[in-house]
Amino acid sequence: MRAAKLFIFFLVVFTFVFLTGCFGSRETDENAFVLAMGFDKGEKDNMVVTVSIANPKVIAGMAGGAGGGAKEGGKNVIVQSVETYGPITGIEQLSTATSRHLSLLHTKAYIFSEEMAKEGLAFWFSTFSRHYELRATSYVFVCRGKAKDFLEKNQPPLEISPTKQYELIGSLSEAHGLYQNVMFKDFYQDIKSWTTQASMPLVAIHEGGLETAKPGVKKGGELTLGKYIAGEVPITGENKAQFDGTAVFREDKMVGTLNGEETRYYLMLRGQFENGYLIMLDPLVAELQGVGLIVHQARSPKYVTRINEDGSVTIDVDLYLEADLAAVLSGINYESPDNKPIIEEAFSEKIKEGCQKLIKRTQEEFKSDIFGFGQQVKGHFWTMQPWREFDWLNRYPEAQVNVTVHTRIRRTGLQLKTSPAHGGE
Amino acid sequence: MVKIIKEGTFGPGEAIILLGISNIARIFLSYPRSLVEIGGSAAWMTPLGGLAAALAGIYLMSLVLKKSPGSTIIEITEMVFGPFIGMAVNILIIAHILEMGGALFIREFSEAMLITTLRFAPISVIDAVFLAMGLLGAYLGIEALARTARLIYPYILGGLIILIFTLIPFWNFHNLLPVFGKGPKEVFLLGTYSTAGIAEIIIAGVIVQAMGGAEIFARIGYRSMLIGFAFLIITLAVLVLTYNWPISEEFTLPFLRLARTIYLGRFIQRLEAIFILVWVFVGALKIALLLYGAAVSLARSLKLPDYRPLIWPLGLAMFILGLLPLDMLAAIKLDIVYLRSFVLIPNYLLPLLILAVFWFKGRRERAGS
Repeated sequence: MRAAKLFIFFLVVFTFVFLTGCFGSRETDENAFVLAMGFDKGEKDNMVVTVSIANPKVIAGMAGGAGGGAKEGGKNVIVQSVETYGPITGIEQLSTATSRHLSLLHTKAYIFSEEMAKEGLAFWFSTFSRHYELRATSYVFVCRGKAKDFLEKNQPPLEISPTKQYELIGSLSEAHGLYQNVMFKDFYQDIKSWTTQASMPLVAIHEGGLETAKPGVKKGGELTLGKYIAGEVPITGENKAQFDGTAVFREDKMVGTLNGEETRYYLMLRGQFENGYLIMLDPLVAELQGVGLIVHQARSPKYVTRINEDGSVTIDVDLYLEADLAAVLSGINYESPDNKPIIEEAFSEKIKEGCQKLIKRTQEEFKSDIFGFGQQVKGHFWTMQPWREFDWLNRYPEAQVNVTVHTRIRRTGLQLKTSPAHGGE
Repeated sequence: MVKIIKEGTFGPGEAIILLGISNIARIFLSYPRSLVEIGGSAAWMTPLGGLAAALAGIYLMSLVLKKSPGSTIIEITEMVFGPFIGMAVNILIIAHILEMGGALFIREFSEAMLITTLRFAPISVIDAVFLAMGLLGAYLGIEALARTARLIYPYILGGLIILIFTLIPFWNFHNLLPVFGKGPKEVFLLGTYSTAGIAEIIIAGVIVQAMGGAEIFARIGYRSMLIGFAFLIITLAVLVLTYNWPISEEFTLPFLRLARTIYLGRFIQRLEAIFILVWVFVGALKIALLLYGAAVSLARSLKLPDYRPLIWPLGLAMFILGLLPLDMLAAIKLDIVYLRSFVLIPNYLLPLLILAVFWFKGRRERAGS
């Protein structure tokens, strides 16, 4: 027992001597936290790496309410770029121009330019996946145009820190479904998957103003608010950054884009559509009048898959949607039990058409199963070898996919009846 | 007359928890990755055969221990094979399973610490700190270890359960398909071979008297195996549900990846620091248990009255052996390919041989009478 006491005594003494600090420890004020990273194709070297670094002086001032930093004219982020071989070499090189260690521990967004995405991203994702500072829950985006420009011009006026912007963007996608919410881990899994191909949300800087608006339904255009992709949405105002639409990948290469409306169908087919305001043409009037519905996915889609004798695959998808009546411009009393089924049927037909069109596009144009139908087909196999030999991703373009949509209008908002505008007295 | 080594005593509850925690330690290393490589989407099934084998191993060991109720596996081995062969077998077990196992365990845990938190620390320092914890634990004895295990197990098991539940939003049940992954042969045969090699059966055989004797050995053994394997199966299932198998098999430390994936909105994330504390608890307990097992076995084999003087040289040897593999990959390979295969011999073959010798001896005696 005496020896144990002696041992403990010496252990404590040595602890005091050796544990004054960890090896390689870095205090918070020795780090510069990269909040977002952008990657563009380089002209002379592989890529241009852009980092958006938190400026603690300004952020602390803004958070304190005094706006000290802002008063001094400082920006809450400092954006720096370097042309280099790869992401990690870029971080090392950028460190030569900063007084602090550049840390990726708080990086919330990795943004790849469209040009880079088209060349393939597997190599770079693999590099990051190995990096000890990576958080696989960071968000990933494809930028139309240059990621460097996006990071320089993205100044969210409502947020102190862009980190919060990217985190809120994730939850906002659930409110309208015009873009999806993809984490590093999701994309990395999909580019290595045998069942599902990858996709990423699109971001861009909108140069211009209202002139980018597309014609509405009465001027020969479409009746939808999702006809745009990031960079095209006709918005004027302080922040030029936009998030809208989806970049579609085959393996690790970007092969096309989906607009906001198509993204909604895509999310519905994946069972990830949370909520959104959708417009359709009024089925009971000849004029081009709109009916607005707030729609959400009632439950996960039901998939039934069959592998036919010739090896072809048939997939039946049943989508279950619930809607609230939000706007009826024609004034027809769609709240009545007689009229409600008419609008439900018309809406189901519209969504079905949209989904079928999108599926056809992914089969013929992209040749990419971004919906993850392969996950359902995989269930027909007991082991992995036959599943691999089945080569689903190459069979997908020939698969027969049938979509059925079931819509139920559950609520009619704060109004239970629509009276005609002239028939009240 | 050799003085009996004082080991202390503890209840069956403490024994179950001590052996269970020691068994759980492997999920914190890169071991689950190797099982995903074997089973693919059916990785979670790979330990099922190992569990059955471990339960059978416990049963066989209990049969052996019941042949001489006051002894441990060390004395019984000598009794059956004679003083020379018996001692040689015992020393082989001590050197390979307990000593080498402890050394590789220290190395792998230290490498894990280097990768996760202490990136710039010299490996020898981390090794030494782990060893110091192990030395202290082994010196204080098995009773202290068992009671410590009992004290910290709510935190360890609680941490694991929190991990499992907080990852539910990321689960994709389709990741578990095809049901039999890389094939029944790989999942059940190779899986059993890879998961049945655990040091806890032989350790239990060494500390049987402190646990309460041969009578309750099987009860303690079965339960601790169920705990250890249940957590391995759950960890593998959660890993494949959260990340599909093609990338799960890429991870150096799958458990760390899982802990770093926890993201319940903006406020509940970055919980891995808590899990690193759990790792250290488990790692220290396991190292102390292996060192204690090695010292006590050697003392019993050499008929020494006290095991404690052996802790220092065995600890030093463990430290040096742990530093011998050139790199982390070599240490992992030694553990998975060499050590886990070798451990099958004392776990399963040795008790069978001992039982066979008892049976032959009994038959001869019966024939003689």
